[in-house]
Amino acid sequence: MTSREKILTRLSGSMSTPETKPGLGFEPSDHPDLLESFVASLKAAGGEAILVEDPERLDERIRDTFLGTESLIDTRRDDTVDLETMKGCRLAVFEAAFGVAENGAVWIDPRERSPHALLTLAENLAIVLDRRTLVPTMHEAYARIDFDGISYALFLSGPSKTADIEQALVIGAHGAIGLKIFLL
Amino acid sequence: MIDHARNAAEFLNDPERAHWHDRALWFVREKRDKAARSVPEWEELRKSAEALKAHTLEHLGYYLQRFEERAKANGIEVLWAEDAAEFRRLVAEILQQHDATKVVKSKSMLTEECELNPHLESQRIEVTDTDLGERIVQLAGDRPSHIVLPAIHMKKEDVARVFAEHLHTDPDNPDPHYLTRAAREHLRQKFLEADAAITGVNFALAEEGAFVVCTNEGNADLGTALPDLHIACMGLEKVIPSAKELGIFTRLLARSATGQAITTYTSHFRRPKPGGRLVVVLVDNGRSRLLAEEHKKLLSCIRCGACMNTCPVYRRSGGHSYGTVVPGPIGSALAGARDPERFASLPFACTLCGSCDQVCPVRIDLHRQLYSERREVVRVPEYRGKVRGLKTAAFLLRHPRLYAAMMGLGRVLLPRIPRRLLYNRFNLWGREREMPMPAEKSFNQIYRERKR
Amino acid sequence: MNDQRKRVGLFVPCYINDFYPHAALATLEILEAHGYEVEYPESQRCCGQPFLNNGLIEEGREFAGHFADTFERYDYIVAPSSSCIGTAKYRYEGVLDPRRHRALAPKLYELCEFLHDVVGVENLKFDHPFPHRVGLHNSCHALRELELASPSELMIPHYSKIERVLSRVEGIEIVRPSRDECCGFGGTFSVQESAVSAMMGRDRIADHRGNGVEIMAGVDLSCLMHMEGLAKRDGTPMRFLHVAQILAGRTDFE
Repeated sequence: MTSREKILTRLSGSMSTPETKPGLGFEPSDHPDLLESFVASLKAAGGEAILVEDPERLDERIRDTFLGTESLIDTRRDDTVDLETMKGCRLAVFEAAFGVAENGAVWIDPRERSPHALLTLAENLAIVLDRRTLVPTMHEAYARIDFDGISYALFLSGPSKTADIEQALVIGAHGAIGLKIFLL
Repeated sequence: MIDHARNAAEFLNDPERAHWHDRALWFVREKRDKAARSVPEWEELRKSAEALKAHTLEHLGYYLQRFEERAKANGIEVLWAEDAAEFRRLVAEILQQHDATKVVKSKSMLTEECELNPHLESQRIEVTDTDLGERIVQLAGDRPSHIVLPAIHMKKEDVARVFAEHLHTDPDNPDPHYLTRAAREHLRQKFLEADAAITGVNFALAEEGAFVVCTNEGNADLGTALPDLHIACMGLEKVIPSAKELGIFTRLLARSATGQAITTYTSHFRRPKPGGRLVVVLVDNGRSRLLAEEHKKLLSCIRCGACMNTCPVYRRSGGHSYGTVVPGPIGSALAGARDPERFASLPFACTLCGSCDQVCPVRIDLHRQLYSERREVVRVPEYRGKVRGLKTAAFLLRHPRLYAAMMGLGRVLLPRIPRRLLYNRFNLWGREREMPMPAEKSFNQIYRERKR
Repeated sequence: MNDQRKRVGLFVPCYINDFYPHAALATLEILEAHGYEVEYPESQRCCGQPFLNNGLIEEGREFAGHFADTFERYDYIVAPSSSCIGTAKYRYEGVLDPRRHRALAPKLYELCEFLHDVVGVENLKFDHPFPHRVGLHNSCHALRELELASPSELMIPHYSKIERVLSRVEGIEIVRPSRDECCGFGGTFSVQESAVSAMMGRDRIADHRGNGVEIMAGVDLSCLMHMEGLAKRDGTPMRFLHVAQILAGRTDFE
């Protein structure tokens, strides 16, 4: 018998196909002002929201915010990037599909367009998000995602961080040190 | 037998450090409270999580097969390991097939449980733990003392000393910011050189054939981004029905663990990268046996560490005092269920205060589990004296006259016994405290006189 | 107050009987003062908690059976101890015959719980003012087992039956500690894990001392006995009182 068979034999009491599964026993909390909640949650996660009122001026706002654009990779335009370029990347621009008000997370699905290494190698991240896509909680968030076609995708909430030394919060562990979300 | 009381007493030899440890973890508990309070439906959320975990365990065989089937359809290889030894062997074989000699690993309690690192190192494979806390304890030749905060037993000065030795930083600079930056540079090199990545799994999705890894540092993401080979290691109990349920668990996990609304990186892996290889190893190592017992509920644990942060004993004895990979209430309960002889002291390293049950995001009845495990563990030879004492007490209590006579004698003698004799080395109560003195009259006497 | 004709059986934990009899007497007096016919069955023995908590099921079963034999004839069973009541209510499960346990459990009350739930706060009348700052020790069985107050872990509205009952005493000022944490007594834990137990107790005392409190009160004398022993050893000026003593004005005992 293979290990698989042995394990499954031991699990034989739990092989039945479930007819129903428990649902949510409650209504998820309401976030009456999604934008306000999102901005506050993102701040708590160490990120910053920047409201862009004029979409025409988005790129300008990104440039101004990060003071210069040397070693910038914009995944909305640049198709393929080599590792050397990514290693020195000061700023990477990503588009997020939607955001979550309760925790400031955004859903990023880089597909094959951009290697997922860039998300963590880039020193700073500028993320472009349509404010109309905000959802209140993770329940609505997962209801939106179609997993077909996804290889690797993530919810990202603020810059990378750690508190492993004496519980002191340090922003910038392995991934981005700065993260700003430009809300259109 | 692991002697928790002795290990704890050792930890408490440095009271200042012990107080610091207690306060640091209570601070995390308070952050958890604040985060939980921000969710009006918190208690309902916990109940849903409990119900879903119970449901999944009820159909664990089904969901695991479903996961396997769907993951394979996505191009993920799925392997099964019966125990730690097979798991270690499987992982080493895969790495050897790729001539991988440098591996970056993100946090996985399972690999600690199965002692993967020493095995791989014996095969000349270098494993770098990339979670900062884990890297600190790895460099220090130490072990994690907490599942979410592996280096919580170390002060920043300790870290500065370890980093000075291994990363050549300034030994006199214990600034966490400085030390974290140094680790970032050091580990960045390791990430760039790695031949393979090993990660844990927080949740495996049966319906989608995908899995989720949660970190704050981004080490699982960076680790898996560059090498072509990714091995994900999961205990059987990590599977959940589908992505829909992630709404519940991602809302609970980080809030319970650190007081964050969600982990910084909640990363979903569904397919190997083009030309790459993605392997999931499903590990039993005693889990299927637990499923058949009264300890089944322990398999609901999502490893948030909240029970450790709230446990008044854990905070004052440190993770190492448990002698287990997973310490604290959940660790004691798991160890007591798996090896009652070796870990007999752990179900007793608990005052049955019940705080752990109430912070647990999946509502495991931890203190109740520890309570019922005591039936088993009290049988070890080490507790013969304790049992004898209790049986003597039972004998006295079932003979009220004898008991009253003893207490009457105590009334006369206790106040007259010289202090040195009364507080002898067998007086365990008197080690730290004064003894209460019997009142002049017992309530029995008072009641009788009052009735007359 | 329409059920005063119902009979109350008074359960007195073993260590209270010998070391703190005035707390038991205070309990008896309070119940009588509120019009109840109270009986203290002298055949009572230990509730079995020390044995059950240490996995000695046979002894636990024996004492549980005796407890049921002694008390099942009463309409209410009241004790100045949440841990003994908690034991009979929740830990007799699987030890005592299920039918007997089902009949017994709803009749079991810790004193404050009885005063709050059965007598009713508005009907409570205590004749002895107590113009002092009193630090309330939340014992775990009261908080997390009998649910006499909201524990800080749960995200539920705040309440405390003990505070509501105590507030009926004139002049009292109730002070809450910063943590509603365990004192470290834990029965045999106090001797088996002496070092941790002592630190837990000292931390609780220091918490109350930080609030300028010199009197600690609670519904479990076992916790208080442990902390009293620590305070005495350390020379810390702190008095320990069972809540019943304050309610009945029996606070002069040492």
